[in-house]
Order: sequence, then C-alpha cells, then structure tokens
Amino acid sequence: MTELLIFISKYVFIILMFIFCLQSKYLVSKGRNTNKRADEGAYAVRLQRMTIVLFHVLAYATLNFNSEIPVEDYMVTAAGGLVLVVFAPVLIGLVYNRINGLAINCMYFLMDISLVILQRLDPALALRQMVFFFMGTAVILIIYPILRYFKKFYELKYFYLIVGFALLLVTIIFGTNVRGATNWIRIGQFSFQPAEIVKILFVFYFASVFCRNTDFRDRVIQMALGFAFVALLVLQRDLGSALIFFMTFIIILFVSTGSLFFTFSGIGLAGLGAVMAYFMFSHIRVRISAWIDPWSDISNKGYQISQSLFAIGSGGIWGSGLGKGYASTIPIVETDFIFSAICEEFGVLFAIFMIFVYMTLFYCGVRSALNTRSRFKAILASGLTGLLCFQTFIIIGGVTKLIPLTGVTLPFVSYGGTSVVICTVIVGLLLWIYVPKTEDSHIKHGPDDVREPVRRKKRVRENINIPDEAPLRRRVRRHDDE
Amino acid sequence: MNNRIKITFWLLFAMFALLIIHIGYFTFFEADEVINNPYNLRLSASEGSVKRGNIEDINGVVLAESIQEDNGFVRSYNYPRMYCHVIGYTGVGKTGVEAAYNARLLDLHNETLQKFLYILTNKVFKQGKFSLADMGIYQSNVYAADIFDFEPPLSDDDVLSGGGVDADVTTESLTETDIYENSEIDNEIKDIYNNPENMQGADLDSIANDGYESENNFFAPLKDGYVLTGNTVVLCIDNRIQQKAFELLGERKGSVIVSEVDTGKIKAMVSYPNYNPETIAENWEYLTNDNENTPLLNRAAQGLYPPGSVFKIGMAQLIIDTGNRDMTYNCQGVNKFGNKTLRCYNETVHGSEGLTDAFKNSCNGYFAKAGIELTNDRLITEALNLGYNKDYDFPLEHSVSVFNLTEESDNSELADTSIGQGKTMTTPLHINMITSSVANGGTMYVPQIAEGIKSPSGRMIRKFKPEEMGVVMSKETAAIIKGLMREVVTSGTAQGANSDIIAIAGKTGTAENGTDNDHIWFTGFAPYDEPKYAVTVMLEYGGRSSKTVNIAKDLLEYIAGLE
Repeated sequence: MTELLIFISKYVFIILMFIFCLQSKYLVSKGRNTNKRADEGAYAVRLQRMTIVLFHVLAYATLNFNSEIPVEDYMVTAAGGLVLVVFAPVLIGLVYNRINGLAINCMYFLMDISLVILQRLDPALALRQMVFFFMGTAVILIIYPILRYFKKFYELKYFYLIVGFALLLVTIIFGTNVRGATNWIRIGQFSFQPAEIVKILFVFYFASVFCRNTDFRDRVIQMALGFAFVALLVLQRDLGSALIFFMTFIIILFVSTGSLFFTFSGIGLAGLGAVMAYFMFSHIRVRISAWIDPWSDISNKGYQISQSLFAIGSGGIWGSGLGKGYASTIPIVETDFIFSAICEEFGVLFAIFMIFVYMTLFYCGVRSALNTRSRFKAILASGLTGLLCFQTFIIIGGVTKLIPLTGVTLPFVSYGGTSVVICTVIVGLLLWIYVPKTEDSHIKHGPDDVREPVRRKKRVRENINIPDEAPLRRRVRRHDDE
Repeated sequence: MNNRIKITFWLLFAMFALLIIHIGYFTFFEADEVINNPYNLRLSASEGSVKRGNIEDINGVVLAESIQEDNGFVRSYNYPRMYCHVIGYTGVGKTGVEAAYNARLLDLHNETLQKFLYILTNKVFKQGKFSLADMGIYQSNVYAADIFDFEPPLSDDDVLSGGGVDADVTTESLTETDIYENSEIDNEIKDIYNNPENMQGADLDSIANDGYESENNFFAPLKDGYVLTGNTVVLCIDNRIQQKAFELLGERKGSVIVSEVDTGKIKAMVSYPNYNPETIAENWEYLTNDNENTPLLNRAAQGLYPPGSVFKIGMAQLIIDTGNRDMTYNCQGVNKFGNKTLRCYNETVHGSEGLTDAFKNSCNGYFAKAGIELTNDRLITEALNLGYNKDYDFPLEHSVSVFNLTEESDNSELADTSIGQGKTMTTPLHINMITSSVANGGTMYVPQIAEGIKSPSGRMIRKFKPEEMGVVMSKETAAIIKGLMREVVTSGTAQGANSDIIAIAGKTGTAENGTDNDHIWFTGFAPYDEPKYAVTVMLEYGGRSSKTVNIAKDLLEYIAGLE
C-alpha cells in the first residue's frame, strides 16, 4: 500500500503545487492580495493556505508510511510544521498593520517544502530547521514595533557601514573554515554566518545613502565602498555571497540613480576583477572547469555537479516519488544541493512550479518597492528583493549547470539557521514596506515626498470612491512620511 | 524610479525564465545521455527491480535477454561468442552495447503505467493470487480472498512446488481444498472447474502462461505480478551477416567489419579471439591476464595496426587532389630513398608505371616517391582530414587511429609513412569508414551500432539518425579512387575477389610488423556500380593477403544472395 501511496502522492504534490500557482496567479491578477479586510482577497488567501496544509498533511503521511525513512522526531516536526503553517501567518496578520497575504503564503509554502524534504533527508535537521522557522517568525514579529515607531532608519548610515565592515573583518580574523570558505563564526555552541547579517546592513546602508541626492564624487566613493564589501567576501572565499552583494549593489545603484555610466562601469570593473580572480585563485579555476566539463573528472572536480545532474535527470518530469530517490548520493544535499533532491523526488515539473512560487514572492517584493511613497523604502525593497532574487538564481542555476556553481543557500529551503532567519527578516521588511496600491494611490504627493513623481492620475480617478477612505489615508500618512 | 525598478526586475525575471527553459531543456534533451554514466549509482540500483531490456538485431532476432530467476534477473546471450565484442557483458562492470545503452535498457517506456501495474500486482495484491487463471474461473472468490487477505490452505503439491505461484499447480491443488467445497459455487461451475479444458478459463490460462509472447492479451504479463521491463535496443547488425562473418573468420586472430556505405550503420562486426560473456565472472582472472590473446579486446574497433597498403587509398586521394595524377615512377623491386630501402611485395619489379598500375599492383616505390615529393605538411593535413588523431562519437569502446608525422620528419620516415608503415596505426573500423567514404562519394559517417529503441511490446519508439563526420574528399576524387579499387580486383592484387555474383572493388594490404608473418588487410565495397556495403577484413600475422580477399569475397557473395 505504501508503494501505491508514494506513487499516487507524487502526482498529487504536483497538482497541489499547480493549484497553489493558479491561486497565486488569481491573487496577482486581481490585485486582491492587498489588505486584511474580510473581502474576496482575504478569502482567496485563506484558501491558498489550505493548499499548503493539504501538501503538508499528504507529505507527512507519505513519509510516515515509508519504512525506509527513519521516524525519529517525526510527530514533533509534523505537528510543529502544521502549527507553523496555520498559525504563523495569522500571527503576522495580527501584528503587522498591513500584510501581503500572497507573500506570506509563498514564504510558508517554501518553508513547508523545506521541512518535508529535510524530514526525508535527515529528521534531526528537519526538527532544527523547524525551530529556525519559528525563530524567524518570532524575529519578524518582534522587530515590527521597532520598524513602526523608529522612523529614522535612513539616518543611520554610518552605523550600518561600521557594523557591516566590523562583522566581515571579524569573520576573516576569527572565522571557521567550512568547505573552503571562512564564513562562520563560532561562539561556544552557537555558530552563525556574519555575511548573512551583513546582507541586510549592506542594503540598509546603500538605501540610506542613495535616498538623498548624490553627485559624481559621492557615487565614486560609494562604489569604492561597495567593492570593499565584495573584496572582503572574496577574501573569505565566499564567492557566492560576493556575487550576491555585488549584484545587489548594482541594482540599488541603477534603481536609485539611473546612471547607466555607473551601472556599466560597475559591471565592467567587476568583470575585470572576476578575470583577475580567475587567474589569481586556483579554486575559481576549478569551479569554472567543473562547470564547463564536469564529465572529464567526475570522481573529483566534477563530482558535485555531476551527481546533482544525475539526480535531476533520473527524477525526470514526474519525479521518483517522495523517499524513492537516491538523495544520499548527492553531496551537501541539505543546503546547497537541496534543489537537486527536490527535483529528483518531486519531479522537475514540481521544481519549475517552485521557481514560480519564488517569482511570486519576488513579485510581491517588487510591489512593495513600487507602491511605497518613500524613496528610502523603495530603494530598500528593491535591494532586498534583488538580493533574494539573485541568491535564488545563482544557486538553482549552479546546481543545474546553467552557471558555475557557487555555494549559497536556497532561501527558505536550504537547511541553516542564519540563512532562514535573515531571509524571513527580509520578507518581514518587505511586509513592513508594503502598502496596498488602493490605499496609496488616491493620496496626493506632498512636497515632503522625497520620491520622484509617479504618473498615477488615471488610477486616482478610478479609485476615488473607496468607502473607508479617511482612516486609510491617516494610516498611510502616519507610516510613510519620512 | 518606478520604471527603473520595473526594468531591473523584468531582467531578473527573464533570468528565471532562462533558468526554467534550461531545466526543461536538460530534462527533455540531455538527461537521457547524462544519467547513462557509470558514476550514476541509480542505474545499478534499479537493475535489481527492472528487467533489463532485450537486445535485438535489425530483423528482430533476440540476441540478449534477461531471465527472471529466484534471486533476480540473469542475463542470457543467445549467441554469446558471436556478439561478445559488440554487445559486451554486464555483471562485472559493463562493456559494449550493454554499457553504451545501459540507461536505455533500464529505461521504462510508459513508466507511469508500468509502475502502476507493478505496484498493483506486486505490492497491493499479493503475488500469485491476482492471477488471470483465477480471475477467469472463480472471479468472486479471488476478490474476496484479496480483500480479506485470505490465503487458501496449501496442498502437498503446492508445498512441493514452492507455493501457489505457478498457475497450473494452483488450479490443480485448489480442487482439493476445502474453501471451494464449502463456498456456494453451483455444480456447473464446479464441473467446469474440475475439467478446465472445457471452458473459456482454460484458454485464458494458457494465454496467461505464454506470458510476454501473447501480445494480444493485455493482462498476460499480470499473471504472476507485473515485471518492470526496460526498453529493447535494436542493433543495426544483421544476424545473418554477423553469423556468416563469424564462420568465415573462424579461429583466426583478426576482425571483420561490414557496414552500410551511405549511413555508417554496422551490419556485422566480429573479432577473434573472443570470450563467453555469460561466464565472464568465473573466467575473469584468466581473461584479463591473457596478454597473448587478449580476448576482451574488440580488435575491430580497438585494435591498432599499421595499415600497410590500404593506406594507399588515402595516398591516392592526395596524389589526385594535388594534381599529380600523371606522375610516373620506375620501380626496381628494391627501391632506395636516401638511406632507406623499400621492397615491393616479393620484390616484384613493376617497371615504369602510373597511378593506376601502381595502385593495383600496390607498388611501394611509387607511393613513397609520391609521399616525398608532396612533402610532409600535405600528408599531415591529409591524414587529419581522413580522421586520424581525431575521436569520433562511436558508442562502443574504440581507439583513435594514430598518425605521427611531424614537420621535422626526414625522407625515410616520409617514405615509410606513405606506404602505411612508420608510426601510423589504424583501427580496422577506421579503414572501413575511409572505404565507405570512397564508395559513397566522399562523405565520412560516424559508425552507428544501434538502429533504435523499441518498447517492450515491440513498437519502435526512437530511431537514431546517421551522423556525418564531414566530407573528406570530393565526388570526382572518390569516383577516381573507386575506379582504382575496381582495377585492383579485376587485374591487380585482389583478383581472388573477382566474383561473378557481385562486382567487388577493394584494396589489399600487407603490413610489416617485425615478424615473418605480416598483418594482412582487405578493405572493399560492393556492388561497384551502386555501392551498398563496405567490408574490412584484417588478420593478425596472417601471411598472404589472399586469405582476407577470400573472406571478403565469400561474405559479399553471401550478402548478395540474401537480397
């Protein structure tokens, strides 16, 4: 019977994933993912959450009957995961003033996929990952009051800069070497990756710099600082993070200044640096040669990427069924290569839908950036979304051999405390920035608005008859005037 | 600023679109090839549960099949020694087609349906109960038994035959059991049951026993639990030609290759000494340590030999292409080039001769002179163009022919190389490819071993296309060389191949190897007017080249007789 359950469930997973994507499509196109009122949008959001619950229940049932998978901590993770998926969004809805239900659903769906695949790979890790998810949820609940009542984030640029550099320098001096990169700091039992925290400080710093007018000299200085961050990460041999930081910087630079000269000169300089690094560091050459032809040296250089491709190829479109893959052959499967394990067991179709879920999440981030009236917040949201976006791209592209492999985590899915908490915080920040379009659009742009004028006249006329206009206007003004 | 945000994220989303396209492309077009890798542990894991597909020749003759035994599947070869170098072996590692098409042989056509049937018949319903024979005779009881997981008491017969797996035994033994006596079956059914041949169920039973042979009966494979069956690989090889080549080669060290000239499909490939792939595990030590006979080596594709006079096909091309067709040379039998002495075969004095005479008499002096006069850089270009030092995409284990002339080589080395000696080393397969390109007007094809993939039910689901390596000579040059090769058979060194049945053209070769017995070659094609098959015969330490000529002639006459 177990075999039959696994066999049928793999198709049901894909169907559930498909339904989730359809519901996302509905919420995106209707623009109903906007506020907490008990309207059609909120109902659709709750319906979408049901899909996640169904996925969770079915996946854990399948895992339960599969005798080949260890069952230790099974009930704790199964029940805890259910609690997380059902109650965490509700709690966030209670604490946050406005929420984007779609973004929250996407995030918790990805978290649930992570729990399921980790439960299948290593139950102990699934339990810890669940704790990290709860921690992440707790953190974004706790930081909200600070975000709400402390309004001077754009004035703390030296704080971000100094703390960011200090953390990276401390990592270089006291860091522990894990798989070739010196990017962990261990304090007693507790260890974390400072680069993950610096990600947020980095975006905050450049957002606070570029929300003001900058002249040529400022931009040159900021670019030098941006490259300094990247250089410190390259020194840690954390190439993946270096790439993410650099792309985030370019996105912020382009979005805020619109200067093509600086954007392309930045990319040009980075290209030059990459070529120099290629000839200076042997480990970069190894990565590149493993990318170009992993098959000539499968047992050594090309081992990781070839095992990943074996997994993806063997799983095929429909997957092998949950628990039926050979995940133990994939190296570093809990973190970097978790996407390959998902491809193998859930199927490539499921994995492609999962990429759509990521894209929906990033779409919500872009919505935050577009809707907010504050220039600082718009840059911040673009930077944070771009960061997550690029991180997702380079790890999925890396394990599928589209681009050379650089070891970073897949947001929300890879095992790892720092990564999970930071990614959750980023989504929390995007939720904080998020303003529903309907609330914002009928407000005139005052002289205190640092943002460039946006053409919204047509929409203003359309939405002018919103029933409870007054309270909404107050609320928006209170939080978005910087 | 909003526009810039939009531009940025459209770009990022385009990257994700690229990612999705890449993953889709990989899954549909590249994955099949990628997963067929010895480092992919999944294939060896699925070998326990999937019945490895058959290997058939082009006419559907089964060459290799897997047979289910108590402790798993056993690979059985119907012509073990005849195909040992083509099909190879599986078990202690894999070689040949077994290795090259490993993933195909384990790949499940209609995977969803097959797995569903497998799970349904093997895991959900217990093995042996969900049998067609049962269903035909007393349907309701079978269901009842399945639902309540009820096992009928075993009779003595059953115990002896190891449980109710065999349908015949089940039918016999169940007559005596109590269940059906007690259950309320009416007398009519009882009658039929006791004389199974009287009713429909008996037919069903016999059909079910035929198993895979009866394709009309969809449920037949379900009788004893469905077996996951891999796809069948169909080879280009024609079993009849292979058999004939195998007989003709006999117990002489060497190899025979027959291929289609205008597709590169291998019709036969035999090599001796051979081995028995079924007993390879037992004889492993012996086979791998036999350095004198090297039975595991596929001499046709892996053996590297000096080409001797068959290299003159390439030389003739060079002479024609460089416009030196009218060159003449006065052969003295023993010719001196600087401090190098070259002897023609048996030191025959050929006298003054042009290209045609030199080619058909295989005059070493003429070609050595040609080689020296044309200088080495042209020779090098020519050899590279003909595929020397260049790997090709042949799925079986093969060696790459070696051509080792450099810009600094002196005249004596040039002379040696021009007549196919020196450091040049060639595989018979490569000589066969060169012959094919002469015969088809100048195009060289990658040798093709597999015709396509069949589903277990026998439907062709994929056909492999011939793959060109490129044009290696012009049509005109090819036509001239064709004529020269015909002359060799009608009035030259290969007159033994002059057949009444089929017009053969070819070139003989004797290659010195430091012993008294030369390696001997014959490579040719037939029919001369519309070439279809290229044959290459190579015998190690064979002595006189007439032996290879005879094999090729007999083989081509036999092929002509098939049509």
